[in-house]
Amino acid sequence: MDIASAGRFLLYAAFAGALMASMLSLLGYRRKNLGAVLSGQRALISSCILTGTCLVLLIVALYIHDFSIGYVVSYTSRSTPKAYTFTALWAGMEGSLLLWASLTAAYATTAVVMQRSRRADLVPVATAVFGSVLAFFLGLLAFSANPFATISPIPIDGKGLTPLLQSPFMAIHPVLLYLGLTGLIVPFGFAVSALVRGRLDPRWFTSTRRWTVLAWSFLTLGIILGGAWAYMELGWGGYWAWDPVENASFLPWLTATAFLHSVMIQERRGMLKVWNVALILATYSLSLFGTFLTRSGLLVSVHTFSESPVGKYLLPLLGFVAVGSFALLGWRYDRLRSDRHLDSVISRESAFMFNNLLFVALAFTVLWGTIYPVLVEATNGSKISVGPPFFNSVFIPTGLALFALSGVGPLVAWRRASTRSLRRQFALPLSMGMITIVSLAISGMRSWAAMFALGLCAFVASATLGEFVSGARAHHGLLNVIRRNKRRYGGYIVHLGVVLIVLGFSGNAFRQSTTTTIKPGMSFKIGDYDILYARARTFSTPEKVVNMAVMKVARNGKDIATLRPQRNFHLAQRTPQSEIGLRTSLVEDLYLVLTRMDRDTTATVRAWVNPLVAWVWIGAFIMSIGMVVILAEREGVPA
Amino acid sequence: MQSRTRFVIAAGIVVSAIVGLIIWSLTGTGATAYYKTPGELSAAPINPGTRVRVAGKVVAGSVEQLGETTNFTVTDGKGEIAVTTKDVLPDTFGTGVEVVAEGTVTEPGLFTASTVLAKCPSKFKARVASGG
Repeated sequence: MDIASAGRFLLYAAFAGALMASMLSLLGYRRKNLGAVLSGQRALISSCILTGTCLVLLIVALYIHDFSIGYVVSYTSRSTPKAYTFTALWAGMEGSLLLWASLTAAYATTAVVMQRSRRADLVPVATAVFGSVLAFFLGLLAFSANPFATISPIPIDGKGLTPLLQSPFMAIHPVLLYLGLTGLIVPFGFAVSALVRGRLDPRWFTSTRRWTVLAWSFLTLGIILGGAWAYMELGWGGYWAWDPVENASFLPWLTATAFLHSVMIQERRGMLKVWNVALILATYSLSLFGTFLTRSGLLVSVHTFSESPVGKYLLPLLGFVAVGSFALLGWRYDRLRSDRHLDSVISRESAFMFNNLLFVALAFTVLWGTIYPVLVEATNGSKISVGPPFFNSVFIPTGLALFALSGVGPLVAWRRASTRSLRRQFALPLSMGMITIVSLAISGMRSWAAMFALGLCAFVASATLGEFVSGARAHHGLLNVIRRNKRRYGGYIVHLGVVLIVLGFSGNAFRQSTTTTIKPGMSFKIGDYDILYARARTFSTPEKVVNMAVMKVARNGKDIATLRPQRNFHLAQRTPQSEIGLRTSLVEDLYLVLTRMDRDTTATVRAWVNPLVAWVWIGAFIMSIGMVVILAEREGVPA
Repeated sequence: MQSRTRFVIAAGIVVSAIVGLIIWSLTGTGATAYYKTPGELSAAPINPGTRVRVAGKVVAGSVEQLGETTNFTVTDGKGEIAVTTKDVLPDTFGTGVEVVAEGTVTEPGLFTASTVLAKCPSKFKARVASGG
């Protein structure tokens, strides 16, 4: 049997398995029939194995150039580099959906297998939820967007992989995003299960916490790597443009981050039960919304993927998940009253609650800005787009307030903070922040937003580091205290990473850019840099024709670097593609894009000086260390 | 209960501040732009200075490079509009490519674009080739 027929057959089988998992689990739960519950779990496991096998088959087909499969023809060719062939998996919709389904299946199955003895009460309904969502995606794959669809006649070579995907970032970034978005199904399934059973004690999220943190970590890194990819590959000098597709992954991140904070209040103080469930229901709905958005062609974006029939199937699923889960919440609302109430507005609970308010407000802002064009078109028929100025002017003040809270939180006590302790706790961090702002103002900084952001960086950093210092004093050493409370200190490490990222963002206030058209031997200036266009080089490889401008960079009369921005022509795709020239340092990046090269080697170059960008990537690295520390915490250990 | 009331009041202030910020930001310069096709623009001219996004295909033979300025014409089959821009053109820019130009109409029939983006059909999926 050839790969295409095997793949199609396995897809149908996986679909049937998921459907059975859902029905048997529900039946077993309703009739209290343990046999049906167990069969449901087995069905889910087999569906997971079958889906995984399909994924492997598609990868094999990509590598052996099985051009009888349409998908392989559309996204690879014999000259596609081996190292990037697997990225063709997410070059097209069918492959992306298969990856989505496989990861969902893997998460769901792992969670069910690991929790079925410990949380026997929650697992059956959760399995039914997993099975239903999985059945939906597998059904879509099997009947509407089949990656194993064949074509005839079989072509000799494929169309090749878009050069934009042939980058190390693109080999990782989409997978990380998918690992993040799909992993959110685990807490979602357990939340629905807890709702159906009408009991919202913290067990539903304590038992799925590691999946939530894991998914959130992948999502965070996926979003940041997406920014890094845009920065390195797209050549417009920035890393975030508030594009609908970027927003699609950012929305669930905002609510998931709110959730990770607010569950701590439920655990410590028995408050916010309904809120926590609502957050995770919203998070998974938004993760599906993102998929729908990128696949439906509903919004005009520079990189909406394609208009396809899949969009119209995803919308009902989204509606079903969002409306259904919140209806369930409404139905169970009276059973979910809090055990306790807020003691004081000046308390850590209260800081967490404001944190959540701001996170949700930000999510609402992004959602509003993203769907506003659709609403306007529906009301008066005119098509509009919402640009970065909208998002920036809401996000910068709200985001900074949220950032400030990450410094305030650790400084105020649970329940009720006394004025004396507040004064003692805030003295040092607050003065650090003030000193930073004053000294920046004296040194002649003009941007208020950047000054305030940097002052907050100092405040949050000293508040957070203060926690490490006092913890280390109390528990004999830094490593000791981190080891004793991995979640808390891992969280603080994540916050320190955020401080560095905000530091990097504040550099945006001081960007410079210039465009110039020059001949070899001529030079131009930007910032402190003198850039000499030394010579042009043109050569061919099997995939592309390379046009390179060799640029000698000097600062204050001293040669510091040679940059080689390129504008290449990819032969298989018949498209040009720029490769930037980048000199990065902790202070600033010099970023060169060759936007045009004439036959007589006249070059048009766009140059940027982007201060502090490197700290965004360093911050992301620190964040990932914090994530590993949090994940190392064993379950059931209290905060 | 008193703390709760206080929290609700404080939260109310925060929420209304953010809602105000959202409304204020939506009316700011460059926050929103109308989406028009070349056909709509030539049929019903709009006020000069209104921020507009125009999407259409680059007309063959219309691209003209004068130093850092590029002039070209976009069409949607129903109308044409001349675009002039100093922006760096996207990698895929060329005849027949679908572009999205954002800027203002400076005089009837002439559009000055601050940004030109390519709606790159090949980036993730060849729309025409495989038809979804």
